[in-house]
Parts: sequence; structure tokens; C-alpha cells
Amino acid sequence: MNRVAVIGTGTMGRGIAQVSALGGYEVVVYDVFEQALANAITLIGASIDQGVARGKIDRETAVAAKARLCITHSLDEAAQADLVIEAVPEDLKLKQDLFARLDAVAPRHTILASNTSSLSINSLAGSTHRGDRFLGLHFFNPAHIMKLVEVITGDDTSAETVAAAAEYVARVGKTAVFCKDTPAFIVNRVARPFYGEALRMLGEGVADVPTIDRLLKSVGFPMGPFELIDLIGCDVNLSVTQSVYDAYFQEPKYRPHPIQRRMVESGRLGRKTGRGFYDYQH
Amino acid sequence: MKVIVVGEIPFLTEVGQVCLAAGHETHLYLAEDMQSAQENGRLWQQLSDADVAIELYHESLSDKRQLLRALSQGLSARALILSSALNSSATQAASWLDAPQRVVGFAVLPPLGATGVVELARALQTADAALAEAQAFWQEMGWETAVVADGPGLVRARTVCCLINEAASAVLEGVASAADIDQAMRQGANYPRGPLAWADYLGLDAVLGVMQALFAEWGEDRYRPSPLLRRLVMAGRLGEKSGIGFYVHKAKP
Repeated sequence: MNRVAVIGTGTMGRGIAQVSALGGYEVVVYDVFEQALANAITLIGASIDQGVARGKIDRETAVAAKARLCITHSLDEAAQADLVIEAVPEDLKLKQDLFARLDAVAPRHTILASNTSSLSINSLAGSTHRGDRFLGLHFFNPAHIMKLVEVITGDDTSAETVAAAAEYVARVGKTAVFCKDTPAFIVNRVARPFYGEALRMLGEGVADVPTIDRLLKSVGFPMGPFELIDLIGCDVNLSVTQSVYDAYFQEPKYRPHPIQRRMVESGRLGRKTGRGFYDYQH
Repeated sequence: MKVIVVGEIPFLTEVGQVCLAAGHETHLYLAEDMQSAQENGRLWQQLSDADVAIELYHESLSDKRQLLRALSQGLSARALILSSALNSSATQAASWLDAPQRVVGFAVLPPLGATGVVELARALQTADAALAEAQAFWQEMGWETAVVADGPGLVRARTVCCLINEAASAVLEGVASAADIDQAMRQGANYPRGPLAWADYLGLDAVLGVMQALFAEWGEDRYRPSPLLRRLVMAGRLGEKSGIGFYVHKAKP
């Protein structure tokens, strides 16, 4: 496997393109939005330069990686890669249409992968005729820093496809974990109680925000739940919680907490608005 | 001070170590040995002049009750009883005793450092003086205290055991292997330990005790213990202390 295509040049797409180029792959990026595509190479280059400045990437590697990056205005051309990784917005219809088109023009051997964090891999694979060469590659944000990739297998994903994906993940310097296609996969699911219990304890008056954060940091969590929600954004945190809850057909243990909605409706979204569970303006 | 600590591994040894390091005259008793009349007799002899008794027993509620009652009967009226509020609220623990005002709930979550933060919770019955004594006891050993509202698990064990329970559900459903789930949580969410390795360290019986207590207290689905956790405990696979839990550990001699 030599050529990787990344569809979508948002934060995740750019991060995936960056690590793929640094891992030695020829990378082609595509975006339906011309302006985003035009900016992508500059932004990825700047991010690689930042890695050099921080001593994380050596200069030669950076130059070589940048030389391996290019853009294309043609989705059909992007589809010619050995591995196509989709990182477009989380919309089932949008992704299914995209994969149906990629499937129609891609060579037989091409593996199609989705970076979805919330949609079913089987639901996406169903829009193609290559369920055996289809899987999820869930990178974490920021993709050029976070070490983990969840490799999600659909019902039809072949062992060869999983092995090829594992090799790709290792070559881009990440750790792969293997996961069945179930809602929220591993991390987004298992982490739910970290937020959910904190919100419930706050609601019950067990302790205040700084105390709950301090206690959880005292056993090794790098950030307390409320600090983390403020960083992620209360709106994003609520929408992830809601989507896991809905994906499990309103399983009560995943139910969002009224405090989450109140934070969002009052515009206290966290660091990005200057106020969330903490005040960042002073 | 003379301190009596009764409980199970690893809580007993870790809290015992903290008390010893602080220079207290510390007597440790393994809870499961309390079935033996000889061990019971040994404990009984030490109680009358003890200043503090620390109970750390998390598996069976009826055994916890029996243990706390035995402690309170042997202790003097001035002694302080610190009851681990992991598998019962402090209020429930105090309700079993004739002198409930001397009981203060507390919680630590191993592995412990030399110092750290202890959670303290007052039972409805706890006297102001007893809470103040409990705070002073830990602070004099170099620990910070955080007083939180009473309830099973207090803040940290409640959160961590719910994470463990969710991870166990994912294993049961075949989402991923225990090792991959732990790896995912360490590297994808920067957790200090994988939840299942943490469970093996704490003891699956202790984790199950916390979940059962939360489920009994709130009656909510979110606290329903994972059947896998229950089965592992039934099979005696309690984690590191029994050589096998979610992982296989070195066999204990």
C-alpha cells in the first residue's frame, strides 16, 4: 500500500493527511469546497513546521512529507488510491452517497475507510459493493498528536483488510485497537460515565465543580470532567452524549443531564465562549 | 495514636502503610480472617484502648455490618470509626451501630501514594466533633481532605467503578478485548490506567460491591452491575489478588 487519499479537509482530514505523509505514504487530499482544498496544503505544511519547531519532526522528514502531499479537484482521481479515508461531516446520507461514488470508480483492491465517530460502519459499507474492503479508522482529535486509532470492523470486513489497516496504522506511528461495529465504539462509549457521573454528582450537590475535578485529578486523570467538558465544548459534549443515547435507542444509562442542556442554552459553552463550568474571562 | 485497620487487599495494606508511615501504632487485620475465632480474639484484645478503627470491607454488606458491630462493641466511647463508604453510605454504616455519632465515612481509591486526597462524608448521625477528628487524623498524616456528601462510592470510586462497569459491558458484548479497551482508554482519553486493569488491582469483588451499593441506593439502570463482573466474582476471579480477573496475573504462591 503506497497511496492514501483523504476526503475532507477539516481538522480531522488534515491531521490524517499529515500523519499519512509523515508515515511515508503518497497522499492526495480532496474536498468539495474549493477554498478549503486550496488552503489545505498550506495548513498541513504549517502544522508540520510546528512539529519541526517543537523538535517532534526532523527537518528532512518534514521536507519529504510535504513533497508527498498533493490535492486533487477530482473525486474520481482520489478514488484511485490504495486506501481512501473519508473525513467529511457526520451525516449518514452524505457519507453513503460519497462511498457509493467512490466504490463505483475505485479499483478493485482499494480499501475504503471512514473516520466516523458516531455512525455505523455497516451502514456505510452497505452503500458499496465492497464490504470486505471497508472498515472504520477512527482517529482522535488532534489526529497528529493522539496515538490511538480505533480500527472498526463491519460484518463483512475481511481479515486481509484488517491486516492492511493495522499495517497502515503502525506505519503512521499510531496504536491500533480492534473494535466491533457498535455505537460509539470503545472510547466514546466507555468514557460516558466520566461525564455522566460528574454531572449527576453536581446535580445532587455531592460536591462542587472544582472539588469533583480536583478529586478525579488526584487519582491520575489529567483533567477533571468539568475542565474537559469546557475544553471540548459543552455543546459538543451534549451532542455526543445525545447521539450515544439515541444510537442505543434511549438506553437510560446514557441519558444526558439537564445541566448539559442548561449550559448550552445559556451560551456557556466552555473555553470558546469564555465561560462554561469555569470562567475564562478573568 | 493506636490505629486498627480491618479490610481486604489492596485497601488494607495501602491504608495500613499510610498509618504506619505516619508513625501510628498500627494493627492490620484481614477481613476474611475474622471468621476465625483466634484472629477475632486477637483483634478484640487490641480494641479497648484504640483511638481510631478503620474499616475497609467492600464485598458483603452483611459481613461489613457484622464487622462494624464487633468493632464498635470492643472500642471505647471516645474512639473514632472510619467506615469505607464504597459499598454503603456512611449513614447506612452508622445505622448499624449503637453509637452512630462516632462514625465518619471516608473513601480512598488505590493505588495510593504516600500522601493524597481522602474523601470524607458525614453520616446523618455523625457528630461535628467526629468529623473534625477525622479531618485532623488524615491531615496530620499529610493528606488533604475533601468533605463531600454521603452516598456509596463518594466521588472517585463512584466514577471509576462506573467506567469499569461500562468497560465490562463492552467486553461482555464482544466490542473489543479487555486489553484493547484498556489501551483505548489510556491512549484515546489519557486515562491513568485502563479501567479493567484498574478493576483487577482494586479487586473485582470490591468493584462489584460499589456497583451493587449504587444500584441499591438509586435504583437506576446506569448502576446495574454488568453480568460479566458478577460472573467473574462468582467464579472467584477477583483480579490480581486471586491471580486472574479480566487478565491472567502471576499465580499467587
